[in-house]
Amino acid sequence: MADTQLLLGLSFVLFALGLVGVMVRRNALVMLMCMELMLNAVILALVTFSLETATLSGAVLVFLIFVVAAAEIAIAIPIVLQLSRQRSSLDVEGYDRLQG
Amino acid sequence: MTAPDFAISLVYIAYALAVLLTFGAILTWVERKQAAIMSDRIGANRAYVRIPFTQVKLIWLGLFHGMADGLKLLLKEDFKPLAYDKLAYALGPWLAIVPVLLVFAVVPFGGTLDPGRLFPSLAEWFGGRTYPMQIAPIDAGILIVFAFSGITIIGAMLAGWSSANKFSLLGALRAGSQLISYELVMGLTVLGIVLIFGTVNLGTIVERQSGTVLGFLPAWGIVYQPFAAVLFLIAGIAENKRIPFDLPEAESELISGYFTEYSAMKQGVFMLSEFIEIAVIGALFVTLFFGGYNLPWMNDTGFVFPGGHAVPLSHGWVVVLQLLTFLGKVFLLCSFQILVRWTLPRFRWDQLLRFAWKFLLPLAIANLVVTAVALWAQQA
Amino acid sequence: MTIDQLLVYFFGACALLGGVLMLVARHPMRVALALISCMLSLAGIYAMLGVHVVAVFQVLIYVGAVMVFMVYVIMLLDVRDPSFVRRYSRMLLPGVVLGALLAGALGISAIRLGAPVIQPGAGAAPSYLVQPFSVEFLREYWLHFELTSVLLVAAVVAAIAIIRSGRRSDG
Repeated sequence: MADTQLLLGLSFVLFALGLVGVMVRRNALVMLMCMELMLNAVILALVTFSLETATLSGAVLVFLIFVVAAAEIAIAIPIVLQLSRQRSSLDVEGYDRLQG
Repeated sequence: MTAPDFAISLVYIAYALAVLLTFGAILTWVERKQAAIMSDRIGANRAYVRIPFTQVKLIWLGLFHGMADGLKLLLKEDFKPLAYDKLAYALGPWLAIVPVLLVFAVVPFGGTLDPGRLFPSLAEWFGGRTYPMQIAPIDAGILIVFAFSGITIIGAMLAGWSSANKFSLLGALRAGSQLISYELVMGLTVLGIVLIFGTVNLGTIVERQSGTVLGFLPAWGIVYQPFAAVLFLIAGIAENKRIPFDLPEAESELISGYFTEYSAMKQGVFMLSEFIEIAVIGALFVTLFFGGYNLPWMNDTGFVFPGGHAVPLSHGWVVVLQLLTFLGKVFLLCSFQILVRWTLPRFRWDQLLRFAWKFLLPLAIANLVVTAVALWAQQA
Repeated sequence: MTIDQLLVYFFGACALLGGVLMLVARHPMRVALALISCMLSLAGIYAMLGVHVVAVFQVLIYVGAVMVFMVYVIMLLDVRDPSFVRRYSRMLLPGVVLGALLAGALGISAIRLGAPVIQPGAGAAPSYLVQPFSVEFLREYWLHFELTSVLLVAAVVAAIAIIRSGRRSDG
């Protein structure tokens, strides 16, 4: 089904974009948002597979991913806040001291 | 989607837009007049329309002040701050008003419409189809309401942040934290109703409120869950950023809060969205707790009084009665919200957050626990 | 080509555009807006495919909670730091090359894999309306549901621990 291949292709491209974003951008918050983009791409792939194989487990895993993404954001942002307070900058190139 | 479905959808959308925009305009007048009556004064009565070629000036109890305000906002100078984020500044009003209008798409404002019976000459074109009187009879009704309320939060925060103004930023921060806290409370209070009626579909919830409980009381949500109704109303008024939860746009503290730097019709859009949201919160409360579009002991075929006495009504009368009942109940709720606004003073910022997290949230969870235990004991 | 298919393609194009804009925009708030538009387009795709329950929860949780938190933090942390002037790290060229290679490899593997195998006798297609979906969810996957609640409690405790340790190191 051309629809499935197109949606899977979109999911792969979004995942690759998210991965490139984490590697390429310097701002810590932007890197977090690119990780969210990767999770969204995975959710699209899961929904496509769930519809293709006519089972429910894909959609159930989507709900688990929602919970995991919310928990991850709830912890990652305070960590970034503390880091930015230490170096007074959000630039990850400046987090280069493994002390204190 | 066939042509009759499309025509009915267009009629519903036109009706919903007309109702919401009329409520938005009328509520400005109602607010001024009700405040005046409550404070024992006359209110605004200076705007008039003069019939041409005569000296007759129509004042009409100050109804033309709304028109005058609208004209003023349209004709004012449209200034923008110097250093601002253009994209977020432009997006703010859109994200503030569009989700409020979209929430009304899942609210049922009438029962089932059978156009073939109402207009017998078009019966063969409709082919005997009946349409529920909702723009979008989606299965996940309440969830869509909360989903779109989340987008409103982003609109308010973007609007406050994008103006290069410390007061606006403060208003945006306050708006963000307040709206998130009270949306959580709103979600938890609605769960009791979802447990009792067994569905999240708003049309089904209203249909199931047309029976009786204990033999003589109408099976409205407020009879099953009076505590949750009060909590929902408080959280709804807080979602709407009205007094007493008025801090994002506190007039005496923050100039105009998160929309200080919006002039002319952009501020008009924010004001309009606030007044439309009064009507939308009223509509949600009516749908969930107040029996929706039905009078007590009424369903789609007519009245069924306790004791078995039934009064059947023709379909046209039922439709008209349901539409008018819905509008009347929403108007009552809006009037109650205006009453609360002109009675209570404003919360302090820490009081507001403590009220949500340490008072309303435990009460909502306790209500949910009691409801769940009562339902389980009833089924056992 | 029906209007349903056109809408799916339109939402897909919007999601792709949002993803690309995320990499290109300079200010984190613009990146957040691009991500919100990408998420809303993905929710539109799910709704067009008929998976209403996932679409609604995508908007409710992702846009309504996760992105609100992200926008709030970007508002708070509007520091003018070097990452505004020089957006890209030293890994720009290797990163883009690797991304293209990854997308190409995934695409080739997907084309070579073909259609997935549907087990015979798997039963009727599942319904993605709220009530049947939640009944099936809690009948078969209730253990996963309970474990996610444990995960959420752990996340709450961890967030409080981070904030408190930050406060202790400040004073």
